[in-house]
Amino acid sequence: MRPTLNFSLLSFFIFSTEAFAASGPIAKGFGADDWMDKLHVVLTVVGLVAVVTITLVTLILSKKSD
Amino acid sequence: MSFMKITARFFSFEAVSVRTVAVTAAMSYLLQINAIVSGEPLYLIALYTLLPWLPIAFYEGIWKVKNYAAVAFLGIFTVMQVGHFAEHLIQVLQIDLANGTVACPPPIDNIANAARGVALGVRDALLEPSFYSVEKIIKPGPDGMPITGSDGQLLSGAAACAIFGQLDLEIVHLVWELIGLFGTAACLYFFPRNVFLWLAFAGLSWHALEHLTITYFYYFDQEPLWEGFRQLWATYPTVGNSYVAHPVGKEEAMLNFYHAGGKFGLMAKHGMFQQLTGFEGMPGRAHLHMGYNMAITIPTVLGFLMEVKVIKNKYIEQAFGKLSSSELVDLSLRVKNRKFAKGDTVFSQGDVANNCFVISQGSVEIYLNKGKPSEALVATLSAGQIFGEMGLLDKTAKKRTATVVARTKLECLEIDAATFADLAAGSGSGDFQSDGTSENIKKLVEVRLAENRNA
Repeated sequence: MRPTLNFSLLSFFIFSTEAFAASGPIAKGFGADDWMDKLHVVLTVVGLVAVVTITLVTLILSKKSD
Repeated sequence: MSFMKITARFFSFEAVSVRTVAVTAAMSYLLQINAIVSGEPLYLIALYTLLPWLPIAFYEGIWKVKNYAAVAFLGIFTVMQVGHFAEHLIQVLQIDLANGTVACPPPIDNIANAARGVALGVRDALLEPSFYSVEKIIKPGPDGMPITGSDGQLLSGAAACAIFGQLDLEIVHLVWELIGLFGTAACLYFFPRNVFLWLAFAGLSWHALEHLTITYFYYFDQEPLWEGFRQLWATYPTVGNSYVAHPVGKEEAMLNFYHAGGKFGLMAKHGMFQQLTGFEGMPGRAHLHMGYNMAITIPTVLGFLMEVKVIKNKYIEQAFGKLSSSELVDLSLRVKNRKFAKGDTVFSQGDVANNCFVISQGSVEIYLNKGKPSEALVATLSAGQIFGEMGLLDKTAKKRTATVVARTKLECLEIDAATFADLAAGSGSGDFQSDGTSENIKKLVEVRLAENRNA
């Protein structure tokens, strides 16, 4: 069926992107050790989120006590 | 004032005329019908249905923020969070009820997938790639080939990436999460005693851990160290512009941390928690993140409902500061938004008076005997000030005592005669029991009379 408007062009520019199997299995040999090797990343993220959260809470509470 | 009425009023169009809403609805309907008749996939039907509403939703949103301040921001933010949660919920329903396959963003009918379709013999060689996303996926087995059911038919179902699956990208998830985190913090800044918003904020902080970690691995950890595979698809059209992805095997590939297992994040099935503890009972990523968003969206909605109960128009609050909080809520819901162009006459001296106005944007000039040799400018009023009250207080003639002209583009909140009479009467009868307001109106009349005398 022919589209009455050229939807495909818009679709191409907006939506064109590579698909991958996000639900695929874990790769061969991937496991706990690999996560342990990346622990510094996880801890950095935890630290970053903690700092951001505490900063925001402080700002909010300082306004509350005005 | 009932809670439902307040909420319904908040979500109705106040700044946009009924005619504009009707034209927009007609455009939306036409585009929707066109997309359906053209055989477009669901995501494009949804997109074209929503597109015409975006400009007026944006305009209305700005008006609401100007008039209702932080509550309006919280309301708009809540609607966005609900929309986001709906996408997660739809994805889960596609997985659980529509035999969906999570391959997100969905495979596209591109050159490579189309060529595989031709090679597989399921596609006409003359049919060009359309670059549409598939709506349906035939389930692949461990070998990357289609799974066949007990009836000998290929197992297929939805591409389980919600409606706008093309946006199912790690960067989109992260940006939305951060908008949620900082947006909720901004709302808490205005409503620091709202316990529901604090719960949503806690959920968002936790959720940020997941998305910051996953997105870091996706973009900044590219070393291909793990043996794995990439699923290959063939695509072909089914009905109209709906496409299906057919698995045609897998290719060996060295995977980076994200593709090897980092994509599952911290707490989802196959994620860090399972890898480190061996516990296999965690939900899959789609279900877990739907849960996260439910834990964020429900308190956000409750937090908004708590605040919308006491929503007040800030210009009404400015003009009638002596009213109680509940009276301001009541009055804010009774007014109607009115617009005038620069130079318009809002009303003329001698007209019958049946309303008065509070200015919300722009300014007006008040004239005595406009157009006559004795014409005199008696006052210029701006946002938060009242005009038109003199005619309503005239107990016999109920006539306008002056002419009011829009000095600029003007927006006003119209108060009907009965409501104003109630406000002016003070305590004793009616819905408004504020003697302070009654006193202020009397003082305002004295000011107006003095202005007229001095003109």
